[in-house]
Amino acid sequence: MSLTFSTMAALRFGTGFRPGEIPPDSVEEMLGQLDAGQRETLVFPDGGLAAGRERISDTLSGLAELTLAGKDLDAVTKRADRIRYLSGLNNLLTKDEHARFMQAVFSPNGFNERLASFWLNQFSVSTRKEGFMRLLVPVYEAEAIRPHMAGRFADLVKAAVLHPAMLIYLDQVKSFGPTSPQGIKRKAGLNENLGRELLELHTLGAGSGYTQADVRNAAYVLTGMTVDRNTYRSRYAVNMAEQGARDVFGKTYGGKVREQGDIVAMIEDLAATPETRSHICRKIAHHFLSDTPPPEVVEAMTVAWKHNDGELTAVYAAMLRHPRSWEEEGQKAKLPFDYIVSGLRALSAEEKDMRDLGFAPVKQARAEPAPNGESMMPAMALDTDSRPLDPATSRLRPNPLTVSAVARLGQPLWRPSSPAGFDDGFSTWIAGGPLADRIAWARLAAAKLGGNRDPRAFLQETLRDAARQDTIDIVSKAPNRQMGLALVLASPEFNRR
Amino acid sequence: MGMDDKMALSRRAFLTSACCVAAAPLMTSMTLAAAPGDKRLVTIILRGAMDGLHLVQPYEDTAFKLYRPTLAATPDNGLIDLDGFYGLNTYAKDLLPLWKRGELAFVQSVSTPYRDARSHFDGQDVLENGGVSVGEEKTGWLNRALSTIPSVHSRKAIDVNTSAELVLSGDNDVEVWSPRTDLAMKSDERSFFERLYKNDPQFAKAMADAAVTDFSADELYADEKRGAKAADVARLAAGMLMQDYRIASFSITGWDTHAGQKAAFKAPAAELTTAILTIRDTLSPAVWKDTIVVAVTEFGRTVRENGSFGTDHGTGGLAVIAGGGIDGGKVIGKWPGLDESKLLNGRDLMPTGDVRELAAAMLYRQFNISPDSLTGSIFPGLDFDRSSVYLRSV
Repeated sequence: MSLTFSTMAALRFGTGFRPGEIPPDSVEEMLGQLDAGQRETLVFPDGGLAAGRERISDTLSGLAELTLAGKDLDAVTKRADRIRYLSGLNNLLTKDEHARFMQAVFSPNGFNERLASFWLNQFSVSTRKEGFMRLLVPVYEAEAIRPHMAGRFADLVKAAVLHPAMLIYLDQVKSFGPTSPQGIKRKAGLNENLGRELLELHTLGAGSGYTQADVRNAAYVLTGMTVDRNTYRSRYAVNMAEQGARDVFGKTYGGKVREQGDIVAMIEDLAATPETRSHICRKIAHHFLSDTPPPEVVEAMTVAWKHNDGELTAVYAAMLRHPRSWEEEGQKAKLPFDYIVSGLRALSAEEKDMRDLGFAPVKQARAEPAPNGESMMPAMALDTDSRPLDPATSRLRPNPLTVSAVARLGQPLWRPSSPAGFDDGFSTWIAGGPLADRIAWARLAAAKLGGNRDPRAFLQETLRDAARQDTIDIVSKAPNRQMGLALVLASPEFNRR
Repeated sequence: MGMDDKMALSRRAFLTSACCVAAAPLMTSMTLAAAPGDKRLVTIILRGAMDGLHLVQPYEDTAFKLYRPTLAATPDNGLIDLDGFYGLNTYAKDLLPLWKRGELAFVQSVSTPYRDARSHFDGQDVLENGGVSVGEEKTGWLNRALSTIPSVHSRKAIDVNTSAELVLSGDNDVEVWSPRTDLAMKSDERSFFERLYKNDPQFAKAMADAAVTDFSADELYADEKRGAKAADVARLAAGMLMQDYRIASFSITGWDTHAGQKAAFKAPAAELTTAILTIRDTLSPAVWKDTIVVAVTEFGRTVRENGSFGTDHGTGGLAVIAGGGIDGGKVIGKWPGLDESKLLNGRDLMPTGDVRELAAAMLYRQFNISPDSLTGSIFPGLDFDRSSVYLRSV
């Protein structure tokens, strides 16, 4: 190890140094962050998980009231009212996005936060899929991903894949057994989307030997799994399920009667295969260590997985205890979210620095265009009491250092462009355009939060022994403080991990 | 003209003073901005699997309506007749003037060699890596093509995205730039960042690329507000082609229409239409004549509509070609028919052409890349020669 343990722990496995926070000094302390993380009260969804769930039921009752109030209105007006109401969800999402940044910046359990982002990306869903996903995705991360990432992998897969956010995102709610009572009644059939990604992304991995027939059969086994639109909780609807036995990757599920247990059994079996083991262990190592992770580390992780029935804490421990995991620092580039989070931590950002910018008239502040040309839903505001305002008048403006910056840098929060999540490779993020965007962020952050810090001291407390001599030299020669701070945040060492 | 010369000179001066070795070989090509004779190529990746049968509908095939009771349209209810057999989706109707002028063509029923697994990610991987199978090549075919273009002046390429995409990734230098990216620094400030990166080769190269592209983008936008919608992306791509870039690539997403396709198709179809028209409008008429735009997707979608009024992942798809100098106004590609026995696996449109051959033909036509290179390093194992149908028919 060429750097001290705590520097590697903070940069490679954590969210960077924050002045006043003591970084972990041993593998045990790092693993201890998992327990501590489970005990943390999450600051997102805005107001906590219960508040997030409450907003879902409030919105549902609001919609019901709207339906009641509009019973004498014509269909077009009713529909327009409904769309206006739902478009107010954009502002609620914006609140949650700001809270999500605060969670990552303020949590002292950096390794736990990094794992949350990793697993969220592994089980990607997007707020763009439909209106309610704006409320559901933050809840998904808080109730399906985070509580299970220190447990058995199979439990994590079940929680994520069977969560309403995933069932909606990958069209499971639209999949009907073609000969099931509901399928016949609605003339609706199978949708393969979730079945495919379950095998390709969530468990076995592409090219691991499964066939199109496995995909289709997995989709058959999944029929019946759907979302209760009155509560936005998952439910099993036996009258949507296709009957009959189906083979998936060499095992048979179901007989005359299909039941929810078949789905659970299938996911358990898929999670326990050697293919899944090596796929997932490699992905973890790829995320934390290198685009070409040392095979011996991946091997140690898969062995730990096998001996511990997929207990993820044992898998993380195997990675952290392997000496090669602590070598050759800086092979990975921070993803944009982590780059911003570590920058804000270095600058001791406080809550007031990270809040949304309040409501603004829609016409004067257009919604940040989504990447890839997706258009936002029409903007509408709910004020702090959640009373709907006219959608034509105001929307919540995102903070340029956090929520809008992370989209600009290429990793819009909770909306990856595909179920595969955001790319994690070095060359994707360290290239001309993306680097120019990071420099722009570094300059903005230095201007807004830098204050009268001394750039040399800032470099020392931000990168410690990871700072290279040439960076120390150039920072000390900076023409002014602000430039010096920006150079630290833009430096290779600060972008690498 | 005096203005142009001055600009070229100042740009050169800028590059030698503020920029670095990596950019030096590119300098000689800068003055070529004034040489409209050079050919250009734009590739648009339609991510999510565009339903070609929904964009260009074979309304005269009587089986079509049977497979797609709610999705199929006819000239009586909004479809725009193209040739008596195919009709254009109403959401792309603004492309009709191009079609009438022969500046737009469609290739029906093409696909990559990717078969049977129907994964977006793998399908896009094959589409962009240019090989026969997933992961066969680790670089993109458009990047590999760069090193085989005989004219060194035509080798400059830009990927208009917030991050690099596989099709243009590889050993050859390619700029990656989004319409909103802006270095916005005085040269003395910039030199600090260049010094910050000089001992880290990966960062030094990224910074050099950023400096060059930023200069071009600044010229294009001046002080205008920069957006990130298809029109902005297309404008940046075309603006770069008006300067010294000869190849540009970007993506349009939103094609994964598993449910409610009729409505879901509107946004991406409008984006594609806007992108093509913006490219034409941004280029000078002379350069538009020398430009070809090719839009391709990872695979087509199922011939049958599914239980949720959408379509699922299929095989045979559609490619779009546009350009001021093409012999368009036609749908090319052999129509395989919709008879159950003619469908691939009883569900997908049977591919009758290889999308790689189409891409090879356009590279040959625009940049005179030898067929040996096209079937060797660029598209390994591809069957392509000068008699290709895609060279003869457009």
